[in-house]
Amino acid sequence: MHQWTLKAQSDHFLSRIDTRVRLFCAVFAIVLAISQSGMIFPAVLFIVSSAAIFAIGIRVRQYFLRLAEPLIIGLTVIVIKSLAGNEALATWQVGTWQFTIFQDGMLAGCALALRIAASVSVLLLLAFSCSFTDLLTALSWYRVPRGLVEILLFAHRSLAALHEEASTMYHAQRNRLGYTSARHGFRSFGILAGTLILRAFDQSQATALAMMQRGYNGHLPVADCRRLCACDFCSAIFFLAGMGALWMMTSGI
Amino acid sequence: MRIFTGKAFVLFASVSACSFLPAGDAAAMHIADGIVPFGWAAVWYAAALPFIWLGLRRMQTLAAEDLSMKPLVGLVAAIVFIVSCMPVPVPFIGTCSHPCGTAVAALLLGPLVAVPVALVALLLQALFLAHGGLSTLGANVLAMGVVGSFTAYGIFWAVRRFGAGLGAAGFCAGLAADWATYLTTSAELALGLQGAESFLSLFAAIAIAFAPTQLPIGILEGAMTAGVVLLLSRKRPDLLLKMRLLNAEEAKT
Repeated sequence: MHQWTLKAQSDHFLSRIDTRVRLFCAVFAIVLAISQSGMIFPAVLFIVSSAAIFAIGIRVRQYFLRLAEPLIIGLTVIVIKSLAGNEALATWQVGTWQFTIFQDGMLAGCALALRIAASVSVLLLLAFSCSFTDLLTALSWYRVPRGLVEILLFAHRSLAALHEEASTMYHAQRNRLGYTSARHGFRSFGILAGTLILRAFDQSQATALAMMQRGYNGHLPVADCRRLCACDFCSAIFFLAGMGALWMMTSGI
Repeated sequence: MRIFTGKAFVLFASVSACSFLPAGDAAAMHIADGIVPFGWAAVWYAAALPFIWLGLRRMQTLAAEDLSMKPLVGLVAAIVFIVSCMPVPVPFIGTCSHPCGTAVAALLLGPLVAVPVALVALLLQALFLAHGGLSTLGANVLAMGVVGSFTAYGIFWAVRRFGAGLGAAGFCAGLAADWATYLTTSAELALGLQGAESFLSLFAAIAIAFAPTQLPIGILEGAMTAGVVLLLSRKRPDLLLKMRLLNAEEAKT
């Protein structure tokens, strides 16, 4: 089972900047990273965001465990891209088959892998540095449809309880040899998912009833945002200008 | 230009994909953040947005009739997220993997409402697990939420029309949804990664590279969907009646 909730230190240097600013800057940085074909900008972005993640108190092991899957995908991309191109770098003859690695393909693959690492590290920095509720408040402020914010809230509220329940059932099934073979595994997993769905139906009725008793009329109230201060504007301008300038320099504009 | 094709490429792609996997859980096929260039990311967002909007509208309509609808949608999204954290043994390749869960959501809530469910689950996965990401959210929602959900729903009713039972129809729906998601993701990746290679050769390379995990995951998804539908038909046929997966006569028997 995954440990999916990781928290940064409660008082870190990013906590003074409003979540709306952090969200905007993260989206801006990701857009810049994916709109460039070079390697320098994503590499700098990856280093800066990784350093910021360590600075807010996330351990190296936790960070790289979270980053492992995107990095494996990046490696796969490098392998696939290296097999096509114009400038042959090395050729191996294995029996009747000939393997050729192309330099331009490999460079394109490396640029893509760096883009993946940069984008994921920026997203992880955002996820580690702010609470989910703050993120939803920010989304609401950016006029993301209310219905979407509400179901995100419901999903997030029930995650811990459902995860606990699913975890207990899963371990109970494992202890009773529920996953010894593929056939048993499929059956056990079907029962687990079905039971969770049943609980979801029952819990949704109970939640709706409890909320109606407290005046719920189909719309969840979302917390109001505080007024943005000068520090928020300055941080945003400093970050956007810095990233924009770096992007233009590395793009050759 | 030389492109590495033929039997050697097929062998190499499969071996390289398999060699990465036994180290840990094989993830359901989400496109990693940063892998799709800005232009394609915008195209996939534009293609997914109308379905998200329609899905949210449908959910609001249902919520106006039944106040437990929004909590239910949120809980189902949480379950889709949780089942993606459960490692299940995959036959043939000796590793663990997990299904997407959108087929179940599409059958129980309808294909339109399943789109926001997929969006919420993907956003939570991106933030908490670094599976997928912000820049590829549109592409992943299109593959998993739109193509997966509508395929599941269409196949379920097509198989039912031929007189098949709930279990068989559920299995086919889950299997088809997963494989349709996998093929759509392969196509999106091939379009995004396309450089000197032709689209078809890259599409084939990606599809073959992920086939060793995705083909068994499809069977797992089918088994899970069938298990959920059968469990609900035994324990709570009233719910299937409410979701119009059973008619009154079938519910009595």
